[in-house]
Amino acid sequence: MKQLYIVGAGGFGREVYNWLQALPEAARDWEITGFLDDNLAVLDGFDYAPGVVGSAAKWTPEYNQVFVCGIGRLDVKKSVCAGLIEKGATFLTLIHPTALIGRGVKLGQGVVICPRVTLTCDIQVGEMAMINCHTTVGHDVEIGAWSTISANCDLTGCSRVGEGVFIGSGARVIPGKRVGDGANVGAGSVVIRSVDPGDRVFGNPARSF
Amino acid sequence: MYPLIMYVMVIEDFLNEVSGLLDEVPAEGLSPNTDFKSLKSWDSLAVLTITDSIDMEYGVLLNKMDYHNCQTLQELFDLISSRKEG
Repeated sequence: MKQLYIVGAGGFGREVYNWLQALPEAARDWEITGFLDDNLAVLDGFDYAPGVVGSAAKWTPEYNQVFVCGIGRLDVKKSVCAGLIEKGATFLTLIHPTALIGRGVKLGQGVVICPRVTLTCDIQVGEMAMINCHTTVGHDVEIGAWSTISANCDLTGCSRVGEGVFIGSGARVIPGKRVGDGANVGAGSVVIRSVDPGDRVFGNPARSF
Repeated sequence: MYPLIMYVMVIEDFLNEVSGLLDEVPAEGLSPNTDFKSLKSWDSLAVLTITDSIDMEYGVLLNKMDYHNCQTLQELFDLISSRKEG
């Protein structure tokens, strides 16, 4: 049995803890050994045994340890998890059993797919990306490494999301449009024209602001 | 920042912008004389995208009749220029 650590014990880290419980026993070669978080008291008042067992920044991964990303915020996720990967950490790819996944879907190492996500077919998701509950991803979509797709989004066919992109809750991207690296798409936005790298857009139709 | 310099609209910039918004239309495929409504990718979404982009870029909000009354991109460009000055 490997030791599994959830990196981040904030809101999303607690969600990941719950999604891990949904995996069938037979599919597990690990045991949840604890959360890693710089705030050791962040789980006070919550029932998440075995709680926070150390700081992610100071952690040195060992051969029998695996990790799963429980951080939603992009900047924090990147700095904390990239630090661990540099030190040799292996991140689990977590796919909730209720996710619907078609043919030709390629998921990078460390990706987290939350409950009831639909990945239709021929989709690529880069390493350490996260797709939150109920989001639908259409055919031929590419999602870059480290990106966070919030819940209830709709990435339609042939749309492309770059690396390190944040897509807010309930946003939609119409077919074939691109969201450039590092861009930020506000909650509820409807992207009808491609978004430049690093741009922040919001609204319907989504505009730069 | 730019008290004395008036922003001058240039047709080349306008053509570039329009081509970037339409699917599969390269900039060199458009000219001032292009009958834009006959383009293959001209559809309701193109109208919405271009209307919103022109509003954002030039502060001019076009309506349905404006598209009806213009045939070429030059005419559309002239209309936007005149509204912008007016």
